Amino acid sequence: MKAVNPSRLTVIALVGVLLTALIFVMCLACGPGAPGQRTISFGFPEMAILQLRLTRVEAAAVAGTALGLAGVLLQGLLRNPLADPFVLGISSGSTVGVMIWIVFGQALEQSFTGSPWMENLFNNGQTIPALIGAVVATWLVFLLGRRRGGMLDPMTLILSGVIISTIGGALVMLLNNLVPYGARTDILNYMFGYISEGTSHTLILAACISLVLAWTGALALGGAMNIASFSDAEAHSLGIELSSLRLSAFALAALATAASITVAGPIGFVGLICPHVCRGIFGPDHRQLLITSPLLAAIFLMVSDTFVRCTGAYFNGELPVGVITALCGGPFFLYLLNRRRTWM
Amino acid sequence: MHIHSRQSDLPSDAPPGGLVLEATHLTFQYAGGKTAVDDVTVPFYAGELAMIVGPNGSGKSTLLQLLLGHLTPSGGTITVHEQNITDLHPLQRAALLSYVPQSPQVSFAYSVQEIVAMGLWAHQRREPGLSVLKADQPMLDRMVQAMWDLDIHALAQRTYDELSAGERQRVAIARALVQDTPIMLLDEPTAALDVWHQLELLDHLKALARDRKKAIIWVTHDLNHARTNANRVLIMHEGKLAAHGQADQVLTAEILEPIYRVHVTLRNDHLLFSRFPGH
Repeated sequence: MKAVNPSRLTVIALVGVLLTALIFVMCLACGPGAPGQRTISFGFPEMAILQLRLTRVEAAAVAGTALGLAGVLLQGLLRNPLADPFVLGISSGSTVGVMIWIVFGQALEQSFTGSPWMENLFNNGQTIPALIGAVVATWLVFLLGRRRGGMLDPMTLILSGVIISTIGGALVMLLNNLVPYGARTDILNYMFGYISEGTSHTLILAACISLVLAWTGALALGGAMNIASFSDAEAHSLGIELSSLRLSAFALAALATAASITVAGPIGFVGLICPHVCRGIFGPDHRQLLITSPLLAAIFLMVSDTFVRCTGAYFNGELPVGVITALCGGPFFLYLLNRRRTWM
Repeated sequence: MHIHSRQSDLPSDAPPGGLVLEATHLTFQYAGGKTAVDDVTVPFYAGELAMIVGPNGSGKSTLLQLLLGHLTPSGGTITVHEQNITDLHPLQRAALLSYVPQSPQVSFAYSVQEIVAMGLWAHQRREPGLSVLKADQPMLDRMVQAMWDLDIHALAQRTYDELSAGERQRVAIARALVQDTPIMLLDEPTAALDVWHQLELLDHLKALARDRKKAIIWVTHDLNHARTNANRVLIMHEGKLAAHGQADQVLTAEILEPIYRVHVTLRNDHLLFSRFPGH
């Protein structure tokens, strides 16, 4: 009998965590031989460099886990295998936030010098505006995605997300024309998502706490999310309180997405593809997906970021990691689609 | 056209069970303003097989979803086991009412066995001693039994996207059987089934009503099917309950002709339909 039982879940979780830890250490050991050189060294470098690498691998692990989690939650919530953290306009919201920051930030910074609290805020650069933008977009989509009676409706939610994304894209282009040429590269980099050695430890810690909260909450929803993939009437008849389930899934997905944006900006494809791969390997049971997909996403993002870190010399500077996730993820996704010929 | 409500008393050979579900002045209006169910008052009893018939758009499926507690009535009340249905938690409702939709929907490719097992959700949740993940032996037996009863045991490991419409319908019925509720609501459960499976299902549900005193409420388009098998027939027309009572008292030419706009004759205990001349 293939039914999920607790011991199978425990084994999958244990093996997954061990594998993720192993790859974490391997990514830490991997790096460019020397700055600007086209060699790759394997082994643990001196402390100062190890510290920098640690920051990056940690950030990639946290952002990846969060994206894999948000992907499962949103695909389950929206009953749509095409959903990912960014279909709901969250990424475009954060980009608008960063864009506003680039256009108006300098002026604001000058008028606030002298207040240590504000200076600290400005030192974290684009993170705070990105989060504010993401929160505003999420809130708008949430308000628009409710049906009469207040329950979130999957179709309305997706449509609202697409519309908010489009409006966000237009705002970015509008603001782009107000920016001096030099700053335009910043926004292009940001839009693809990148992980930096300079990420502050406070931010990583904050993202990590949000992630743990979101993941713990999500693990309790797995069984109910399986049943919520039936029609509303069927799910109700089986004992599911749909309105509160959808609200929880949406809130937890937003929290996880915020965690990933905090440390890595809007990285695409990870949240879309990892739940799919796990569904293909382990089946569609959400109780398993909520464990396997975040771990796989963490591995995927750590490896992608290590690749970016090691190949900087070949590309006149490091690529944004989002380029790699999309370039590897896209074709792989098409392969899966072609093989299964079904979106389930 | 106005159809007089014709409410014959409960048939003399009515099953001995008590009142389990009752709609009182039930009204439902869709957001667009269309009144789908209009002032329906009807009781349902333990141990009966009640069939709801009516033309397309007469409010049958809406009535079923109201009785399930899925739709919130615009007016009137539904009482299930002497409690107002809106006061019940979904888990309590799932212990009393199970539901089979016209065309079941599943968004991800679960296996037949996984889907049938989801019928146990409310049961597992109600008993705090049981792990969410672990089904105990009686429950597993119930699952296996339901899969045999619906002739889907051979499909247990198949995924939902590989099933035919009839097989999908049988999976949804098995899921409802596993729920083991005193009231079952079925929306055209035989629409996609072949004749053999239709008869199997009918026998099985009749036996559940007779032996285990379940109330079976069944929406159908097949008037002869209702005439032969139902303990009681309800005819819906334009949202109203046009008639309800024993099959041979309500499935008559006099009542059916104005509702269905067809000529009805009874021959060899069988209803025959033809178009009115000139139409």
